[in-house]
Amino acid sequence: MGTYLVMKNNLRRTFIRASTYLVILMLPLVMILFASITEAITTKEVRIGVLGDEAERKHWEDIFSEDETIEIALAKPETMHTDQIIGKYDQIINKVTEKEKEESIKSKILEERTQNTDVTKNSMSQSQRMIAMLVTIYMVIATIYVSREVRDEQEGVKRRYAYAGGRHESYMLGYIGSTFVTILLQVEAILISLYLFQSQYMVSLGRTALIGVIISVVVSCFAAVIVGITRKELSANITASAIAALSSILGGTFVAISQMPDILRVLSVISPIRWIVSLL
Amino acid sequence: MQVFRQMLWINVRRRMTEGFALGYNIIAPILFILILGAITKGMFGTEIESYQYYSVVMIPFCLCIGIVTIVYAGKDDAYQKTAYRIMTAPILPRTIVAAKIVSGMIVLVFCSLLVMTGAVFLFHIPIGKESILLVVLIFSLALLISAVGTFIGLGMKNFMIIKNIISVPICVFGLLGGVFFRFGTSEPIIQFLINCSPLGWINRACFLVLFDHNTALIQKLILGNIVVAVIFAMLAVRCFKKEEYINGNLPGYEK
Repeated sequence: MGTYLVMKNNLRRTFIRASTYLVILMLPLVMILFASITEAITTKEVRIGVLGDEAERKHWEDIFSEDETIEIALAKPETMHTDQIIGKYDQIINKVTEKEKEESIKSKILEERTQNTDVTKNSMSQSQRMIAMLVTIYMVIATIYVSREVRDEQEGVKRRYAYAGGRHESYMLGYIGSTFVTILLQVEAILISLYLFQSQYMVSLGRTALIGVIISVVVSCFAAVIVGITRKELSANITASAIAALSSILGGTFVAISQMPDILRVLSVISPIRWIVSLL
Repeated sequence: MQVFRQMLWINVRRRMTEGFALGYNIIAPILFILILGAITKGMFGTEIESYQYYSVVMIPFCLCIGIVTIVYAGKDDAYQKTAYRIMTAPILPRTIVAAKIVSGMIVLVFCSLLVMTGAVFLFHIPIGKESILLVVLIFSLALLISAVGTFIGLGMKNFMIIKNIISVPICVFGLLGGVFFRFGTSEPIIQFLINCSPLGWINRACFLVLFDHNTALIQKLILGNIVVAVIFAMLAVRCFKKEEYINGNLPGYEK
């Protein structure tokens, strides 16, 4: 009974706040933007910079005219190294006078294009990336919700509950329950919005609902563990953010797990994001 | 001047002994450099190694995230119950603000230079005589972050909300600026978004200095940082309110 009362009280406190609804409205937009950006950057195109004049650029454009995935642009010699480092160009070509060197450069570029294709194939799909991002964000949000329990303890609410015969465990359970319900509603609303409005989201409605439940359970338990260990609002927040970021990296959000070094591939086992996205 | 020196020393000591500076500006960049460098080993071609890339991009990013340290410091005196004593003493608001800004800058610079020195030696980052401008950039960026953070911190009412809100744009700018993974695109809209990221410009300036020996962009950035820092410092003095300064009972604010 105590658990139910704590849950009811927390749900009332949560749904009175505007921020609860703001999250439901803003997050799908953020994720659609994220999906668009990652779609653009994981494209299979190869960008080649040519040092020289427009004629040289046209010459190379003619060589690769049949290949739409190769883009040729004029590069500046004073920034050529930086342009390659930051990824503006995959390769930079100097003025070439010999036919053999031209052939060798051409085969290098085609090899680069094949490598890009392989990397993209092994990477997460757009649906998986969106789910991964959702889990990362909600690991932090869930901790914010559960850490209010610490504030209740500081303000004496828990003491009053204990004087009325309630136990610490039932109070915490009530908090986990209310966090689970709140997050379930938010996550399902976001996932359904993605299902309806985001063309790159390719998960069926039934599976979407199931994944929403799994995400809610996992992040609520995660938040409870973090708050239970740290017992401080600020520390819980920072710890959850750090672990969420690490889980995201190890879960394969940025680099496919198959391309990671062996030791990190082993460590990725502890990332909940890896297992949740594998359900898709 | 003596008052300023004493306040500066107290603030520097507090910043160095609390966990934020250590966590955000030393531990976090080291962890990110090592993990991301290991994950992306061999993916950067012949121009640069992954560890070198992340050493260059992580230091400005973690410097920006260090704004949380500075915002936290804004309410430090109130939390430590020394704000009343400072307010009753003949100390000008500009002395308080200047001490907070300069102390924040000193701590952020110290932590960043420590990580940068380690990275230069461990990962053999190529440094030349233009690399002194990188140090100047770190100073200017730390001054900017300190000024903005002090401006926000002195007037904040809920630390947890402020902390979570200011982290979001920094992470977004970091993502667009190639901090977590590098990417290039010919999509005009995405390119426009990338150009909106200040961290993207800072990273580009750093690479231009190190690998192309081109100092034009970094000089402009240093000047821009200093100008914006001065503006925010003046705003912090202008908007200083005694009743906000002594109010340390904030949600989410704790040691």
